[in-house]
Amino acid sequence: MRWFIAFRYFFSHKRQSAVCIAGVTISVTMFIAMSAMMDGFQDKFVIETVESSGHITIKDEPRETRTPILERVYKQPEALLEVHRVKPREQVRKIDNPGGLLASLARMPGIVAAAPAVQGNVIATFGTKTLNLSINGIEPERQLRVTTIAGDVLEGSFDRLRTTADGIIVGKGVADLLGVKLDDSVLLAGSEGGRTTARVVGIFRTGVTPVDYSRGYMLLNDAQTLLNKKNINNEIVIRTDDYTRAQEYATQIEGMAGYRTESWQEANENFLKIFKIQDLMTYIITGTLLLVAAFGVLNILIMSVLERVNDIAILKSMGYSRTDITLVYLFQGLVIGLIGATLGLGFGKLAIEGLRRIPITVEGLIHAEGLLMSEHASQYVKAFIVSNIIVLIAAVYPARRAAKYDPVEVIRGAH
Amino acid sequence: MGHTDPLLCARNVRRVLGSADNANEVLKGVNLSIEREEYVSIVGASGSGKSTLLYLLGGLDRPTRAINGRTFDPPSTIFIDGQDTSTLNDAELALLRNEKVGFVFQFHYLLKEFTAQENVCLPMFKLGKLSREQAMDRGAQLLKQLGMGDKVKRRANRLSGGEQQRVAIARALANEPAALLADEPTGNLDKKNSELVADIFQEISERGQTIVIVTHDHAIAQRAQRMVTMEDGNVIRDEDLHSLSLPGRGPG
Repeated sequence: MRWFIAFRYFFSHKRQSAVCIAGVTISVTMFIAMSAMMDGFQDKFVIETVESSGHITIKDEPRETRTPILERVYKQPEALLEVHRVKPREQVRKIDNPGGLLASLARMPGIVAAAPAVQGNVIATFGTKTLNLSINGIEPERQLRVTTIAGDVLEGSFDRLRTTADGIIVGKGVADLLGVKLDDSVLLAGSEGGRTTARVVGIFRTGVTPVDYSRGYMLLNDAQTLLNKKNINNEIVIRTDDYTRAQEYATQIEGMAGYRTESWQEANENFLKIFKIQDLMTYIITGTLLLVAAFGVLNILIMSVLERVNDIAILKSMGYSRTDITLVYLFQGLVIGLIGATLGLGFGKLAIEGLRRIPITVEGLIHAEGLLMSEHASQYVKAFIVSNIIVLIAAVYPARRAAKYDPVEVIRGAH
Repeated sequence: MGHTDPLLCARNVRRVLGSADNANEVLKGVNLSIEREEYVSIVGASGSGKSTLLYLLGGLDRPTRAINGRTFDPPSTIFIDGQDTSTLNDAELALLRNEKVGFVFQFHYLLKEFTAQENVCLPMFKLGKLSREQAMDRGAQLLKQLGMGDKVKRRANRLSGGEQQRVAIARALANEPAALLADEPTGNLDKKNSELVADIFQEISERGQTIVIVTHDHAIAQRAQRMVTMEDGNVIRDEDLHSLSLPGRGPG
């Protein structure tokens, strides 16, 4: 009965109702489309980063800075220590017994694969162009089990890396900046004095700009020689069964290995913070739109209440309670919310499909052909529920106002 | 609540409107009983309190229980079918109104987005004793009885003033109320339609329907079995139009 009255009222003012619905529809559409775009960008970055660089990396450094020995001995805070000419002991940084560590990792639950590596910076020169390059010395068979970098190779292959002395696979950005092509030779100079001329045997593109513009892969032995780290592994790259749990696994591994162990989340903490700000901006923009729509609903329902004071009085005179009247108006809000949100979900889906088809090349933190749109059912559910709740809240005031009318006062006023 | 009780009873009913600084005592201790199947008219000058009394008798308003913290002796109370309305909360009073009382006002107050039939059905939808189909059938039947059989599906705002008032009467009768209370039902109608409405009241009264009508129209008031005259918030005359005048007849 309340639905019956609410529906009839709702459809009697088609234009106003349509405007209210349009407001909700637009805000839900915007939320769905913007979230999909943000998520698409973030998902691409996360997936490509995780897949190209591994889920976890064990580094050859302790987590904490070592306390100087004198401070360890004299623990009293009042003690005045003055030490001159301190010369830290020179230590070769490396991961001790990497074979043993790899064997231990193989036994850990959740660890799918691990690969030893050496990492260091060199200066690459090709003709007149030079570039700082981050060299990853790898064992291709093992590396390809911890990353999907093989799938990102545009030209050449990791097989050629295996069979070519001093071969190098570089990122597309590196190749473009240096102007090198497949089979060109690049002069590499390490900071420890090592030098070599490496042949480009592959060019990859992960889509993650910082990786594509700075990384090169060489065979482990070649890289160790170039970086003057003979027989040294300074990184172990790990793949887990669930990249979202990488931080949890990293903590366990660090406890076991004693080396700083960095999950992909920690390595990309700054980017993840930026993503959170992006998400917040999406919520603020679409939330503002939804609030404007909610004010529209509030306004139109108040007009409806003022217009139907006599109806409210007569309904009360025939026995309709305050609750009945309240529900008649809340139901109108609910109808607006349900129709508006449902249309918004549909239009949001259409907007996503439309945006996907825009021929645009994205260059920035990531590289992509076309706008990256990532749909999550949770965003649809969130948009539907939140928009309905906000519209319903907007309907509360008019509903309560309607319910408060004293029928006798209304009827006396008409005399 | 037996049938020995009067159907509607006002006992020492007072009603003060406005705030403390600007209080207006509209009813000053009215005692009145309406028996079953009675047709009673209430007359009086404007501001005499007749409409206020009608709203109180129908449970649409509540009597003032105290002035400046002082209660009345006996308490200012309304009984509907033996039920002391002061013991009911607003929702319970609304339900009692829905079941026992039908109101007709000077202005028809039809819901313009609804058809004549749907307007008649609204009290039945609220009561919920009949299914939607049964209620719609009864609504059509009531309209037919009031000569509106051909306009059942017509939107309320497309009916003439007389037709709208007939729909309002049908709506008031929808739940077979114990009492039909009408406040100036012909006040907004021309002579012909006033006559028609008066005839309808006469006819349903003859079928045993209790009716209380507030009117300025003496001719219509004279059609009732009993006429109550009010002045300045008091009942000053209570006449049985078929026999003797009984001044100040109260609930006893």
